[in-house]
Amino acid sequence: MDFFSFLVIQSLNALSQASILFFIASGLTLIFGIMRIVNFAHGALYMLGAYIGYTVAIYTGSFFLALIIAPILVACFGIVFEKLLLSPLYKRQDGGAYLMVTFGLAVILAEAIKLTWGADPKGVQIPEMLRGIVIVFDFPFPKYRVFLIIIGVLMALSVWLFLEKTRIGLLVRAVSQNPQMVNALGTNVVFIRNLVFAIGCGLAGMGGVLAAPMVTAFLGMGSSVIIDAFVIVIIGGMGSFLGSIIGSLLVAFVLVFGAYYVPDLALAIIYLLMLIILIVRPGGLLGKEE
Amino acid sequence: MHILECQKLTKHFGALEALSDVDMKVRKGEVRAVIGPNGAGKSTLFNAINGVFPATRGKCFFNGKDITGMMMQDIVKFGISRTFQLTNLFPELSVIENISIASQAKLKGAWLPLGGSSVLAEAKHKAELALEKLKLTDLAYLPSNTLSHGDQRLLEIAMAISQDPLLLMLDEPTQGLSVEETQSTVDILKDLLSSGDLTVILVEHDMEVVFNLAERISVLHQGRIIADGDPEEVKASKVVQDAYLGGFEDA
Amino acid sequence: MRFWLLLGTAILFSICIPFMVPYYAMTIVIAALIWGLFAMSLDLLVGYTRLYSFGHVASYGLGAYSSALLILHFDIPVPITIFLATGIATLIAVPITWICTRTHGVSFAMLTLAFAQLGYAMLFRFKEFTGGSNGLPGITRPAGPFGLDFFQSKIGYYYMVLAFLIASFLICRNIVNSPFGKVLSGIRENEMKTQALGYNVRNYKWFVAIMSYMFGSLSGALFTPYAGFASPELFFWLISGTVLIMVIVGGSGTLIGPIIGGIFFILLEHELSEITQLWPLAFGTVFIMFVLFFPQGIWGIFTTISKKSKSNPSESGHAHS
Repeated sequence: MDFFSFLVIQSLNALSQASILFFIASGLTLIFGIMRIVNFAHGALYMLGAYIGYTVAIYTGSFFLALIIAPILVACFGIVFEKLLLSPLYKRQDGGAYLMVTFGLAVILAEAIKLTWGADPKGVQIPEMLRGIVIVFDFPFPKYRVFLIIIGVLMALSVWLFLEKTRIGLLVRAVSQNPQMVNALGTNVVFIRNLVFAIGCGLAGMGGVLAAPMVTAFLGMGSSVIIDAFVIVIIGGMGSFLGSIIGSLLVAFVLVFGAYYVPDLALAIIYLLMLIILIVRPGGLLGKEE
Repeated sequence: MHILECQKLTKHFGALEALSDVDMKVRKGEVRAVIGPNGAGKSTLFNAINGVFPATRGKCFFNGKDITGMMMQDIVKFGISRTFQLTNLFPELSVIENISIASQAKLKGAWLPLGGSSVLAEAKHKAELALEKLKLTDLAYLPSNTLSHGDQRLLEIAMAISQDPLLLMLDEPTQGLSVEETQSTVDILKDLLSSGDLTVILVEHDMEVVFNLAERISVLHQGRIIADGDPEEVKASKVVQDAYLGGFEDA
Repeated sequence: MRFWLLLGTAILFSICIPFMVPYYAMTIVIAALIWGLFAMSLDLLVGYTRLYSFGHVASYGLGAYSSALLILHFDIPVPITIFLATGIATLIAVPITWICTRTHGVSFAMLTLAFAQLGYAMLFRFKEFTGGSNGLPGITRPAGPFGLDFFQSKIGYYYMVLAFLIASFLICRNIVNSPFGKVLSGIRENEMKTQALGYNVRNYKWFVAIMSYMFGSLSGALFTPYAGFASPELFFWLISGTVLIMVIVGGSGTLIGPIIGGIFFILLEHELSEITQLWPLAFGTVFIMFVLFFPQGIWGIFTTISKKSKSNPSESGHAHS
């Protein structure tokens, strides 16, 4: 394999990985932007998405149906969670309380999933039409990963359009950039909070369904991915949607190429990257310092 | 001898020039009021002097020492203490704890992580003195967030006083107070200033309070000092009348 | 006075424990004490300064690996090893905490988490040194000093852990009641005002973080000679969350609360996880309930009640909203 095709194949690998990371990180950053909440349960919601996706796919026999139903269910769960456990905390001016409640939920969800689905990993079949490979510069590349790249780009575009072209999106951006603007939301504040929280959770759930055919649905998939998502959000700037895209790409490329060139340091390298960025720009690449 | 001297103090926020070439000299023992319409730069002047943010340009001398660009925690050590426009306390701590933390800052051994009971005792003693001066002794053991707004304003002054400052900077001490509360605050402040050792700079909107307390008045308008003199001069000044249309007569 | 009476009773009770519980159960009792110490160390940050660290596992892991490596390579008497390991881990914490305490709030939580993860990743980077995913098995409790072999026995080690816990508690109690501790409470309530009053807030935060890491490292250093191994799980980020739960449920800002929280958490976990799978589900739920409805924690509730019954109106004003 010559260097050029190696580069292309590895880049495609990184892009497909970035796509899944994007689903988690963008939801995390949207929620932080509008609510100043770091959602520790986001990894668990991603896992929940994967398991629900597995069940839906088994019962309906359709992966694509799972890809629609699971995120909706996860989003509904998110709304209930926000109403029940987060909203009582809004009047308490203490960011730590959110961290702790969402962490508690992550613990509960992980156990609930274990009790519901059991401890064994659940494999999810890749649908017929996405099995097999495509040939890129004479080298085989899995079709499913191409699909991941495409759906990632589509989703990034739709969220971006929502943020740029709708009135609600405009408000969401305004508040993300300037928390004092929260009054500008006016009477809509509850609705917008719910909407953004639901979108964020739904994105995580969809990420879980998409990841399931590659890594299976397994316990612990949430607790490893949440850290990557934090790193992405911090690198990109907390609350910045564009930042979460850039961060996902950066982290995915560093992971993929790092694993090849400096396998020993692959794990450490993203944390080093993050620390350097935080020291140089405390608010992240596109964020403001809190 | 001037205790505080600002030379061409200037502060930019982006394109906005909040302070432009402010020259100000305050004598030792003087009570100086800084007045001006909203957005004139009064709080900015305070913040630039005591290091909440650095001035863009210009210099500040305190007791002949250059304090330009120093951080606010270091400026306290020179003997400048201040209050804030919006009440700024330790909400869940008791009144006496609030003041003790303030007075402790000026004591040797304020940082001692072990022992230090004599430091704590001294801080508490100073706190009690400040409480007496501000007539808050009865409230000493209440959590500060249970106090009335007026008492909270007084508590902030007590915290500043307990540091035995040479210069006390009060940012709108009567803001949001009722007429009675304002009157009692003025009485307490007059009492406090009767010794004549303490230098005070006061930002205030209530002109009655200003004329009651101040020996000299500086008028800020759009970031510039447009007048500077004793109360009668300022009252009479044509520039001030124009900038501050009828402000004095209303009050 | 009441305090010393209570403490004396607690110490006396703890000294008698080896005579009251079966020998095999001492294993879990020692673990409980170590975790009590670990939780108390985090309370300095969370309860007294309101700095939410999500990377406190780093102190534990650093302490654990330091004592493991010291014993493996130098075979120093176990009490001395513990001191040395704590010292080494604390030295490493000095620059790390310096960087972390430049920030506040959520950024602080994330930054501490990142450093802890960096440490975790380093365990795999320096396999030849740390054993990678296998960890370091076969840690013994070297005898000495002065030929003393008391600490080699399980009961002897229990007494050593107990002594370290009591000493640490008394030191921390002194710290939070010192002038330094008063400044911390100012930072907890209003960081900006504390700075305006003339305190170098960053340095105070830095020093309390170092102290917190020091006692956390001590608990980690005590763990490996007791358990006989060091493994990457001792560095995994979920532990940071678990210890935070102990602090909050026990009662943050009380020192005693987190110790009790840590001890009972470990004992309950041991008892209940054998009977029911629902244990993690239960403690997650209990934790959320405490954050939402009883942020003062078990010990906080206890002291509020006992204060009210003492009928001293001038001092019963410490209500949480």
